[in-house]
Amino acid sequence: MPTAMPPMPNKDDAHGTWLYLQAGVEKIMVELQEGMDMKTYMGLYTAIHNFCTAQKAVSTGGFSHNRGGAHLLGEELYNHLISYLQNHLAEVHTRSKSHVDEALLTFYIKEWARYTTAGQYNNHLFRYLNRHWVKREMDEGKKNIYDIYTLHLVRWKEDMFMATHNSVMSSVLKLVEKQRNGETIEQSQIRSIVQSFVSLGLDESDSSKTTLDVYKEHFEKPFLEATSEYYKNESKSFVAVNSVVEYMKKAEQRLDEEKERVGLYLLADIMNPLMKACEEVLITAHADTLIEEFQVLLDNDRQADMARMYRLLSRIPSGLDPLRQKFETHVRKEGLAAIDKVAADGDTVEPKIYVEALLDVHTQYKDLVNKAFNGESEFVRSLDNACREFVNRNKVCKSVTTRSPELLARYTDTLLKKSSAKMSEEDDMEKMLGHVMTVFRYIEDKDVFQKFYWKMLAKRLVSGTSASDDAETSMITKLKDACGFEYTNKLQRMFQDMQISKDLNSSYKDWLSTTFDAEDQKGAVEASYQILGTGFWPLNPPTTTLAPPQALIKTYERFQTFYLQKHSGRKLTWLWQYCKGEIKANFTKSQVKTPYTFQVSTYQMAILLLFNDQETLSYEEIEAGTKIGKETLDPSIGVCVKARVLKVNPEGAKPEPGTTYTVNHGFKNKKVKVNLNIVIKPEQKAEADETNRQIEEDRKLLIQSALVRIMKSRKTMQHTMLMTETINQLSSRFQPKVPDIKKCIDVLIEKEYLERLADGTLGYLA
Amino acid sequence: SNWNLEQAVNGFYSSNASASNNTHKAALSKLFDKYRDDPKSADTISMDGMQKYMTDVGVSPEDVSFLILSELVQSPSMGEMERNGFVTGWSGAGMALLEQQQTFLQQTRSNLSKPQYRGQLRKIYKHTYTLLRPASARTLDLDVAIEMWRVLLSAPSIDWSTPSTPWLDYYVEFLTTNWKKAVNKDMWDQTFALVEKTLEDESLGWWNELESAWPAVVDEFITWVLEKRKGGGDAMEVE
Repeated sequence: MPTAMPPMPNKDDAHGTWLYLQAGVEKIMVELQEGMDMKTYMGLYTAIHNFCTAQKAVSTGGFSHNRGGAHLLGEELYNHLISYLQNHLAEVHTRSKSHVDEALLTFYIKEWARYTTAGQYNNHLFRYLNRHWVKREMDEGKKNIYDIYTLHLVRWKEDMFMATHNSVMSSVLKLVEKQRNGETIEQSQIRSIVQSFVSLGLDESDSSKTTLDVYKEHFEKPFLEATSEYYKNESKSFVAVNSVVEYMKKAEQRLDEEKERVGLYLLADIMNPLMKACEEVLITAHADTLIEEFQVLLDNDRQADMARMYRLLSRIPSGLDPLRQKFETHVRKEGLAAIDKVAADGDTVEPKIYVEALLDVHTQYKDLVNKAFNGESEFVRSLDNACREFVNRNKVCKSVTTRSPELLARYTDTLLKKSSAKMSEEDDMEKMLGHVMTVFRYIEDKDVFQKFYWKMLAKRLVSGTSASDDAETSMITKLKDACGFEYTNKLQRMFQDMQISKDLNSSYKDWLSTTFDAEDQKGAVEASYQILGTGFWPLNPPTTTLAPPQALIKTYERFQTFYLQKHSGRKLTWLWQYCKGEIKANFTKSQVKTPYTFQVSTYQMAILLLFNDQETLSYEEIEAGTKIGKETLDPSIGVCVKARVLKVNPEGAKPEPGTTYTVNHGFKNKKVKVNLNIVIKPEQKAEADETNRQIEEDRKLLIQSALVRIMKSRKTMQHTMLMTETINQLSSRFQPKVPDIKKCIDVLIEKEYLERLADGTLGYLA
Repeated sequence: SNWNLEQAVNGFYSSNASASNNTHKAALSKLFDKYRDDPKSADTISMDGMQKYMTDVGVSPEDVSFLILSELVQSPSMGEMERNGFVTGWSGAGMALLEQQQTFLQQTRSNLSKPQYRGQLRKIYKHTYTLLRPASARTLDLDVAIEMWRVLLSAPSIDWSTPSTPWLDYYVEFLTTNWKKAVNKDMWDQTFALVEKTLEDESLGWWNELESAWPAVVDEFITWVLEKRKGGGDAMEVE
């Protein structure tokens, strides 16, 4: 039942007016739900208007500041309202004391809602006051004068909030704790509390704005403290009875929950500080425990758990550094262990097995980086560091430090060589070459790889054992992309030479058919030629002399004529040791219709062709007829004897003066084509030693020229700086060692390119 | 003990310096003529004359005083003196008479190990390389160099050894068993620098293979010494 309104006061009667207004305000404040009719509202509004304006006329202007009666009366009204609100709130506060926990929240929220709604109504009601008196006061910079709605908030803050916020907040926190413990709570209550706290943040300088000060101080701060405390305790007791892996799951789950909580009923603004607080107690406080567990996870390849650890530790500052270190150490160890395993037999490790062992470790941990560590570049760097370490320094490289690039080059050679083993669809080959490049990037001694690769490519090209031009080109392109034009210059030139030779051979054929008649051509040996540029190929002139058989002389002289017509002034050197041919054996009894074909070296050809004129020849006659040096002659005869093409007399005699050889007419073989060109392979190790020696020599020259280049531009330089600069300039090819550089400096000093100046400085002598 | 230096300085700066200097020079030139042995070259004393002169000033060819003399008169090669060097050298020292010269050489010899004579020793040391190196060669045979080091780096000259380390013996051992290469000028000069450094601090605190600018021979020698110190005597046979 609405309270009856007192009668409308006389406009000059201040006391009466206030009584009248108070009754109206009270109505709005406590029984707004009962409704207020338009008449009463207008009555109140008019009363305020009248009160404020009526006395203007009787105002005497007796005040020093001479601002008129409205001022005085406005102030009176304003102060009356303040007293009223104070009384009202004191009463609300008293009632609040009988409530605790959720009931208190319910009470607080209800009262707040009622109060602020009333405040809005009152604000309307007192619009005249707001527009005139309040505005003027504020314009003049008076402190503590607010529009009527703000005044309500100010009073609430002073008379209600200050007295209750502690108990309200502790009720909130109890509720949150309940929820964290898994109970269902009335979330909207907390949201309302947050909103009410935020509303109380009044900007002293501009009442139209709000700040978060009140909220931060009285909500956020205690909320964060309680959160930290809660998770501190929880994580401590959880870790005590659960595994680290379980704990990480728990922590991650908790972090997700808290994040979600913000959206449910907190202010978005709290996200960062809340996450930080949680991370501090859930992660940072347990970081050492986590990191300790990392090795176990690595050893057991627990990708998902490592991913979780990564996610957790990535949230705290420098949390991942220890993981990266452990990861790097672990990969290095694994790499070394893998090599130890394949190197059990010492130096004789198969290139394929060795390279695959390196690759397996890389592949495994590359995968881990991508899956568990988000492919993060810092982890990639750790992986690279570890790989570089075990690729270049492991058991296999112990005695000969350049084994890695050598074995990689040999492995590449086996890939690119024709082989009976059915490898390779095109993309398989591409994939394998890609793998080679993966290891190649870690190789420090790129010059060693280059040298071996060069030699082996030459062999493949000259002997026609390369599996595919496309694969060769692809590999060279890859190397060029990785190391630049200069690195592959010779390789490319070799490749070009092969191409040019192909064209040359076909134009030679044309030339032959136009130059010689059919009869003349018939007797000639069918041949193809490779013209290889000196300086680009790792090939040396033959070590032995040779008197080529008559049939060959005619053949190659024709070619020479042709070639020199095309390119006068060039010089052709015949590298007999790389040549080979096929001869038909018409002498055998067993195969008359389709005679055997012997695949032979030029030297063997020279030897065997001698037997066209004579059934039996002595060692001395062969020597005189072919002019081949003993080191080549003996093994070349040896193969023919072993294959039973020639018979030795006396039986089993060594190749030496006095021994004679006879054609074996009874020669038999399962195959029609018989390969006698079995190269007496130089010991692979000896060959590698020789290559390594060449590399050492090349390096000395490279270091010296780098030193001279640097000193030429700097004139004088501190010794240590010179070292650093030299290493920098060369490290893309190999890692020069300090003592080696020093030796080169010694040489340059002796040759008077450099001189020693005072205090470890070197000078350039022009 | 310093009188030769004072004498030299006095000889140069005193008011009648040039007069007495000229007198000296004339006397010295005359003295030079006395030992001249080759009628064909007027300004050179070679083996025979040199030997006679050395006997007269009491210098033995195996002794460091021979090297002191050679530096003073700037001998162009072993057992050879030129008039210009002889006159300039001795007049600079202010010594025109044979007896004075003998005393001077004796004195210098006995002073050579003293720190304040280090500059003079360094000059003698450096000149020894020029003296010994055959005109056609860029380097000095290791044997010859070792012989000279023995003269230049032990008493009465500076003694290259410290309480913990017989440096000279070690150096000779290292060079003959490991290094085995001829000695170039840089190595000769750097060896003296090494002598000075090791005498200053035998603990080798100043050495660092990666940072110091020593020639390779010094680096390897020091590594060798450190190994030897660590393993004791015979371990070094390996390498």
